[in-house]
Amino acid sequence: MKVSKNELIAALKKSFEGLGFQYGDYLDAANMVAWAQMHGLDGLGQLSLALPFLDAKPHSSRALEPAPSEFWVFDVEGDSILLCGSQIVDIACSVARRQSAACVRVDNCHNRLFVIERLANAAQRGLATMACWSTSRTFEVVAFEAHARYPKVTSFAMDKRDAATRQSLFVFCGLATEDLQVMLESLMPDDWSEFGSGNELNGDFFRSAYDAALDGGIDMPASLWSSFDRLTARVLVESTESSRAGAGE
Amino acid sequence: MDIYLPHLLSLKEAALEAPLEAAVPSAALPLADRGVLPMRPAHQVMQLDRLGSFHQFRLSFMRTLVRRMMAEKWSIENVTFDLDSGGYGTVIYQVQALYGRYSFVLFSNYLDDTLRNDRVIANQWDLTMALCEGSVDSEQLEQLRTNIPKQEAGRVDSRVLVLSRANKSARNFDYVVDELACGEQPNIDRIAEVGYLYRTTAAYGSGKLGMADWDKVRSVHRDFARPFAAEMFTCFMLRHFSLQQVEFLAAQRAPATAVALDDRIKRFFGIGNSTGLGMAPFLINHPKLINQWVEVRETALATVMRDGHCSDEKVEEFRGFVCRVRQHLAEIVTEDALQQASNGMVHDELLQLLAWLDDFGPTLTDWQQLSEHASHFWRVETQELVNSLLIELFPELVDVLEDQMDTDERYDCIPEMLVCDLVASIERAYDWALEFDFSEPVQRGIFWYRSEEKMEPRLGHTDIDAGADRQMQLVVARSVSECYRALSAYLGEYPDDDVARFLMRQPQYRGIVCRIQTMAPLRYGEIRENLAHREILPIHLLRCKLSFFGVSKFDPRSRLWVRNTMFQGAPLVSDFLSSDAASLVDSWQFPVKPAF
Repeated sequence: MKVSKNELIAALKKSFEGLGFQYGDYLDAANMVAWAQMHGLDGLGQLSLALPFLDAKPHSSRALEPAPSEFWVFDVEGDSILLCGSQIVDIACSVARRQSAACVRVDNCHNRLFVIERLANAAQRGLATMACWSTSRTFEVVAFEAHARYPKVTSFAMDKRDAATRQSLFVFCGLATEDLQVMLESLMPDDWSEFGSGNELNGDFFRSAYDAALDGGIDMPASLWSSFDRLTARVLVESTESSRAGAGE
Repeated sequence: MDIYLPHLLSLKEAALEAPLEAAVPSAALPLADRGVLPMRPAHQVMQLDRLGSFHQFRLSFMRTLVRRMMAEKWSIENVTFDLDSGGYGTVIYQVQALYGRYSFVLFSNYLDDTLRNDRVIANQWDLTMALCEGSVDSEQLEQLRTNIPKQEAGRVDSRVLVLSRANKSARNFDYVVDELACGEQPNIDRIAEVGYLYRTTAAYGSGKLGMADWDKVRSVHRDFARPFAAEMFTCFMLRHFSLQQVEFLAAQRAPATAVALDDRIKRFFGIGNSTGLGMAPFLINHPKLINQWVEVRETALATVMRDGHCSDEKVEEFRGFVCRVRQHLAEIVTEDALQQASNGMVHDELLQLLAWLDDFGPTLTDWQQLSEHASHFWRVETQELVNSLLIELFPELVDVLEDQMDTDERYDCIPEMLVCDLVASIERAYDWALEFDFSEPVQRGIFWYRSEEKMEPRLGHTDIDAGADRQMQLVVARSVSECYRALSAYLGEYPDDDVARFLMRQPQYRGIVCRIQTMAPLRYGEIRENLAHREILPIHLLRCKLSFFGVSKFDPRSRLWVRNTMFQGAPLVSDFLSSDAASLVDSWQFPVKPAF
């Protein structure tokens, strides 16, 4: 089954609303997933893996308080970036506007890939943005030039690493890409030089993925579409004779 | 979205607060060379009852579509006309436009009279149809045949631009076929009562049910790169088919006696439309687009006010328009008492307008004099009708705006904005929202929700109906008021903080903050009404959007849905290449019965 971008975003909005996300949060979460899917990063596959966890507890907007540190650090206690990504990137952007560059670390955060759409959004508003995180096998770096529509995403292989990761995500925003690069390198593991050049996805990849998805539609697994229907049903109101009058009968 | 620069924003917002004559066009429009225009203020234009008094105008989507089709001489030909003697079967038209080729595929199926229902919740229709890119091969045709008649229950792919359905007019269809079969033309007075053979109840595009996204349509299919152009074209094609079908049926029934419809009567047939609450949330959820539409309309009007000369010829042409509209109003048939009364009063006030023109027309120096007189002495509905006619009078000033109806729809948060600036922004741009007292029961008397029946939007009564806990976020005024209170309290505690820090601590306001920050610098866009008010009239929302589509002859069936007519009086496909094309292309605003 194929769906369109608009249809996907509409379904995602209602699904996240069904999960308890609030107005604003569910709009942003829908855009984050759709961006990843439209740009060839298997956003729907990632979401499929995340949905059982997202559905396991009620969601409401999370007030964030930074932990004491020389830079901004938040512990989101296992939340998805879908729920807190906007706040995190907003903080990074606002600090960058005041101080030319900013770094925000988020601990215990899941689904970190989805932060890319938030970075793209900030880049469109004129800031250079970056993010990095490590998984059990890779170290991921995402970088947008200011005003760029597409990022450069580099994935470095890292064997047997970080099993006890804090599920951290680093977000950088700044007026100049060079400042962010310096901040990023200061956070790199000591054996950084052994990583090699990594697998890189550039603007051509993202542009062609987007164009293909727009032109031909998006493959939607039936099971995930059913999950969307199930979640959407939570925001629908049962129909009665009385309620039909509320539509003009 | 530009980087937030407080000093620039302040200048822009200051301009919005400046006196009427000093207002400037929005930066969203590339109209800088138009200079200073007397734009009407938002507190006047964006009142719900005024929006609900808008009429079709030169830049309405049907009007611009017809001009484009005729200027570019689109070719529309049957490649399949496979109907049985009952008029049921498959029809395919091939459309060759300037930039591309399209196929309009239509399925006509038998429908029992008892199953004919205009509501969204219907699941069978007389006609179902799709506008597709390119040519349709046999494999795709079978896919369409399987899915299009199911409408929302079917699936299509991104080769499909629009999907629609329609039901026969019980009052007209058989009558017209009978008359033609007997060799007679239908009685024009009877046609004037209804004005169409089919009534469409939905035209879906923009990616719904797997169709092509709007981003694809506007970038790949330039022929339909204006908002709702493909949807309007689908309705135009439905009208074209309806006229072919009645002639075909008459010829089938009585080959010896049947006659074709007179072209003048053909043109007087439009397509009926039935619009309900489903259209209302669109206006709230797309404020940047609404801002753009209203900005274009107001720019056209302001340009006429500033630059439109009051020559004798123009005054006389305007007088002709007024006479035509009076006839149009007199010919409208509606059972709705309020609409009847409204049409009658406007009809009377237009008579006063003719008298005013007799007195002041010869000495008129600018059209602002008429506008001011109208605003002092006549109803809002008449005022807006006059505005539509004034825009009509000056194609040379306004047609250049045709391609300005689209906009991007990004709604970005500006995290570095200071909370004090956001508060000030609300006080400037959303002062109207702060005036509602939501502690009063009447101000929270209703709520909007989605029904489990096809997700149909419905209204519920607070404290009576179930579902308030799942209501849609459409009450902008209430959200702004709550956010404003929270911001004001926060400001006392953290006077130097920015929006990012506010949302870090109170993230529940993120959605409304993004909306405020996006919309506050724009002139129009927010409808200045509390949509939770117990006495709200959603029909105004429907009428506003329908006026931009270009419909006429509003016939309210309740405060929640309205029937109307599309393309009545418009040129026929056969007119595209006729020698009369130039005189027909723009002669159908406020259609009237053809004279014989």
